[in-house]
Amino acid sequence: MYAPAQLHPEDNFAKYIRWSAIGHVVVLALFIMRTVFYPSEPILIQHAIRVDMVGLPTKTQAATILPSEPKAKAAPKPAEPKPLPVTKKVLPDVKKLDPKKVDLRKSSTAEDDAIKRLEAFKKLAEMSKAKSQPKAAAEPIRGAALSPGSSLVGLNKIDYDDYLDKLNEKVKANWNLPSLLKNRELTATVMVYINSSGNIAKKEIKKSSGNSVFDEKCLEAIDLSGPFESPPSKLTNILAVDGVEFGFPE
Amino acid sequence: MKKQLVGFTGRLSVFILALTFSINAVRAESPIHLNVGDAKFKKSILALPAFQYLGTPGINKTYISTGKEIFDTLQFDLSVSSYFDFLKREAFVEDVSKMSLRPVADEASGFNFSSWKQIGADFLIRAGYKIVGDDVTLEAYLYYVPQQKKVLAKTYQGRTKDSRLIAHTFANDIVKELTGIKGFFLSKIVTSRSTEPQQREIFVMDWDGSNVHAVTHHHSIANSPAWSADGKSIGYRNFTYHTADKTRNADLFFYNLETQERKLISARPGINSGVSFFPDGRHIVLTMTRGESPNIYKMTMDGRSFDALTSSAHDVLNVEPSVSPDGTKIAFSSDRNGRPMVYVMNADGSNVKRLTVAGEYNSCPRFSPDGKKITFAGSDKGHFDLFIMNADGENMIRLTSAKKSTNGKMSDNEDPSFSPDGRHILFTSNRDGHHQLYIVDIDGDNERRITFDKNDYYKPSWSPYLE
Repeated sequence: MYAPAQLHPEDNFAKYIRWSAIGHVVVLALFIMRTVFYPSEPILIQHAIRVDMVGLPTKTQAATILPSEPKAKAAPKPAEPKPLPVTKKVLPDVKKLDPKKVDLRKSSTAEDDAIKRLEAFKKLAEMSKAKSQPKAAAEPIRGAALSPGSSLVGLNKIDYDDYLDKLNEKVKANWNLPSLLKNRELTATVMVYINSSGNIAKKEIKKSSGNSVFDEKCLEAIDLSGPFESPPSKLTNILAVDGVEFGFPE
Repeated sequence: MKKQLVGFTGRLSVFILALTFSINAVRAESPIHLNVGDAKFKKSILALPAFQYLGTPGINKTYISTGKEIFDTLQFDLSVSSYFDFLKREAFVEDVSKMSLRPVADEASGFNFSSWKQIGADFLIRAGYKIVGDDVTLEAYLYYVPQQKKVLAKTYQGRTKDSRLIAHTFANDIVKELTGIKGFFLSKIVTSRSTEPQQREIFVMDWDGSNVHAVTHHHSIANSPAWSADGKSIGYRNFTYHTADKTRNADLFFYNLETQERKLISARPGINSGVSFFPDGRHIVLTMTRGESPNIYKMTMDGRSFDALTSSAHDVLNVEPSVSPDGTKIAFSSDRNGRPMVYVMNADGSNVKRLTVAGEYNSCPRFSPDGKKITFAGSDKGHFDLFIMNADGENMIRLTSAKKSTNGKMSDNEDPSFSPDGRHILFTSNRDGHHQLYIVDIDGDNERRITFDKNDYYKPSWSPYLE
């Protein structure tokens, strides 16, 4: 007979466990590889801070937020947070969010294009707003010294990405190389520190290309691009202290 | 057994958790990073003031013409390189005719970088020469103005009749220094050229059209010359009269430029033409008919043995083979599917792929020196233009489109051949009447005529680096 009828059931169990373990290890390994080689977000966030934000109190914070937001415009509609219909159904907390929502829209007048793009993200934004708004308010309450970058999620993150995109576009527009350096495959990294008014406080070659002209052209691209717009309030510390790293070309 | 497994997986998961956290920790500390992307490339601004005469003027009457020849040759080289825009002489704020070739920091009578910086110069070339007897000496400097830095300082010496050679060498040094890529200014061209009605001979000249000399005197029709991989020999075909059977046959010859030795390589009945050399120095590929339709053959350098790479049926063309620089591929043209189109195959004749489908007649494919591009002449509206594409047939662009100065009709632009650095293409065009030699950048810019006579040129081929 060809049937392997002799196998003891426990042997099979051990075998399955082994295969199961191997399978899990493979999956975990894949996720680790993915994390290492394909980081999903270019902006790094302190994850612990996100957790803080979730459980934060509501109304009082909302009040504090409004003034602190530099972008908040004349805010003709201090409008009641409650009336907003859309959000209510989705989130029970919506009320807290509403005030911010109103502000943001108004602020959009200042940055029309940015907001237009954001429109598409509204719904998502509302959700994340709910989370992010309380944080800001929470800071005084909890006394936890959260870094200003902590709220780089949702609308804020889009806002900041937008700002960083603008930085990058400006630098890219000013990055010219002599055709003499074509096909040399040189790369350099420049650290740039930007103060709260958008001026370049400091710039330095972090990784040289080894070619002085190439390095010089990188720095020149930064110089020609400044001054920038004032960064969003929560990005000011990051840009002034940690700086932003420009990779030429990547 | 189970316990062991549990213990193992437990340890593993702890390890993985730790790993994950450490990764996150590392990521959290790195700053925001932005990729700027690819730069825009611009030509550098070059100031090239007149060369100084450093000897005693008047002693040798040729000193002015020699200096001018060196200057003009250098200027043409650098302008063709398309790395530079030249500052107009009227823009110069400093008259350097009496100033030292060095900056004022090195020599009291020197020039000031500031006066070149203020007019936007990136680079400044200062040179002076003197002539003693038949010898000319060129003292030359290249400065990078923004950093006030000397990039190159060299002295060149030679006979006055070799003054172009001196200029080409200086231009090569400049390009090599600034780009890391070898300059092609000492390369040459081999071409077929009409001499008398119904007669063409093979000529060799400098790449810029100067210094022309004939290498055949067959008084017949010699054509389709090609360089050997080492640049020491050329191959060509000539309609040779065979006295034995009183016929003319298209035979393949080699001519060694150093030893001036000429060899008959293949005189098999019919056509023995369109040679292209393998980089191994031991094989060639060519078109032969052998009494049938033209097919492509791989042959040993001595011409004794050969293998057919294509074997199309009667009245199908497989012609104009071009070996890739690494010797693994052969591009050719064939009308096996109707109209003549560009194909590529492995060096053993396998894996034939069609690369072009558009147009009416695509011919004369040539590989770029890095093997990544192919240029060819294509006709779609009754005239030929040059095209360039990736070696797989993608990204095709048209490089030429010029009306004839004589009658306003579209001109033919044919027989392309890459420069040794792969940045320019040599070709023939009848836009000014006769089929003359032109060069163009591989993006279609800077078309320039390099021959100015009443002859017709055919099938030019740009040499590899020769020095």
